[in-house]
Amino acid sequence: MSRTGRKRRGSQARRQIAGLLFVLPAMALVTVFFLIPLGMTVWMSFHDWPLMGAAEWSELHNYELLLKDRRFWGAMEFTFWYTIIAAVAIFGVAFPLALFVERPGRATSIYRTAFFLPVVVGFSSASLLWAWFMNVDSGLFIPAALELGIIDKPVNLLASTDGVFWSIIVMVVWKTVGFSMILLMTGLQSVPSEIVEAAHMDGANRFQRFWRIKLPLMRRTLALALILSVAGSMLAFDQFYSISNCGPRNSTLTAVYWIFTQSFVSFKLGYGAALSMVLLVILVSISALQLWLLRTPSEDAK
Amino acid sequence: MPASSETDTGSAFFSAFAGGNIGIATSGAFAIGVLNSQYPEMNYGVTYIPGPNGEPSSFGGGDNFVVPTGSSNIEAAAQFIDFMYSPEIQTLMAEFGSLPTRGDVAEQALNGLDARYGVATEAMAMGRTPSSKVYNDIYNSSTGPWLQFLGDSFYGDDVDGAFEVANETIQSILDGAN
Repeated sequence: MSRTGRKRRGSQARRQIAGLLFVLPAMALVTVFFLIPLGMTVWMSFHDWPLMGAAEWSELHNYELLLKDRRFWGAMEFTFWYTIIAAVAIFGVAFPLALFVERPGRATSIYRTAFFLPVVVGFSSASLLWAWFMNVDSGLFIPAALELGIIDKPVNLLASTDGVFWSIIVMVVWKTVGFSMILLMTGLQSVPSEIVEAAHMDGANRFQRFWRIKLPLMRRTLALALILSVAGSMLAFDQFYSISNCGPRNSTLTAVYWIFTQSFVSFKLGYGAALSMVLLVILVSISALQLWLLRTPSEDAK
Repeated sequence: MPASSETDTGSAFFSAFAGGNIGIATSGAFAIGVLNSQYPEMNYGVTYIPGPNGEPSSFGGGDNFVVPTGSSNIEAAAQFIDFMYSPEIQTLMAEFGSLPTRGDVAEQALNGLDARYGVATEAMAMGRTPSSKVYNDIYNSSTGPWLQFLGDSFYGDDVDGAFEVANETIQSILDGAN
């Protein structure tokens, strides 16, 4: 064994230990705030636990009940529809905005900030704000519409399922489009300009440059933006709790709202945990599907 | 009905009534304290909710003192409950708007306070409360059958259907709990 060999191996080991130490805080956070609660949820799902009593082992009883729970599957269906429509709406607005703020101009930084600002308002605060905006007597939209003569009788937006649904879609788009816009903007900027210029010189028009060059090269960013958007929408709770309280007569009940009701209003913590596990599995499968669909071809070749 | 009534969660109960365009509003005894403090110039009276055959009816609600199983402070809890039900404390609580729960000291506790509280205390004597472990599920839950029934019967088309659906759901919740 030569001396340099020993020194090289020593520094290699030191770098590995250094790397481990750097990752340790993050690992600790992930373990404490994700892995341990996940384990606890799995444990809870096998028990029967009224919040203020002792937990009893009940095997797979919760999962059996779950299969027959009409309300839960109805809520999941509603959540699916909501997710699809919200994702389409968010991307439909975020893409034009991203294209708009990508080009450096005089006011683009102001626009970027303005579009991003709603994202930093907390979701619950924003929901409460919009709940009062939509109030038919003391809100903003209906009294303003009455004043301007757009409608002649007050219309309670929150009294019909459609009214609630589309109002919440508008609110969610307003709130989250800035974040998707920034993600898509960085994706657009990461496309090497030489390729775009080459396409331009080859005679591709604006639309073709976008559709056939920029979009495919943005796959990874698209995947990220899409996964975040879909996951966020599947787990939607704040807005449905604050604005509509699951809507006129249970018509806008989302999955997480049902889990919340079962756990903290009906005091069936074990059952709520089982529902959460099912939601987790569904969400993981959807994310895996998205990652597979949006994989870059080079990874495929490996 | 005002357009906001369908989605009101109770936050506008009193402001709507105090606005002067509503003749009668159903509420609880807490309304007396709130109306007196927030709308002192308003002239209003209190009476019983009419029952199905015209006789008065009432709903005994409120909060409970609860000692969880396995508590190690049962003696202290018992002392506290005795304290809360003593005539002195019932009088003190009545001053702050909390109706005396002991019918025998009610008159003494309400002595000198708003006369309308007396109606509320009489109502409580004939008040009935469904007592069940799944009370929360049925009445308080925002996804529960009680709220669904109220909404369907006031704002829907089929009141009898609403009754049936509510009955079935409540029965299934009760069955599921036993």
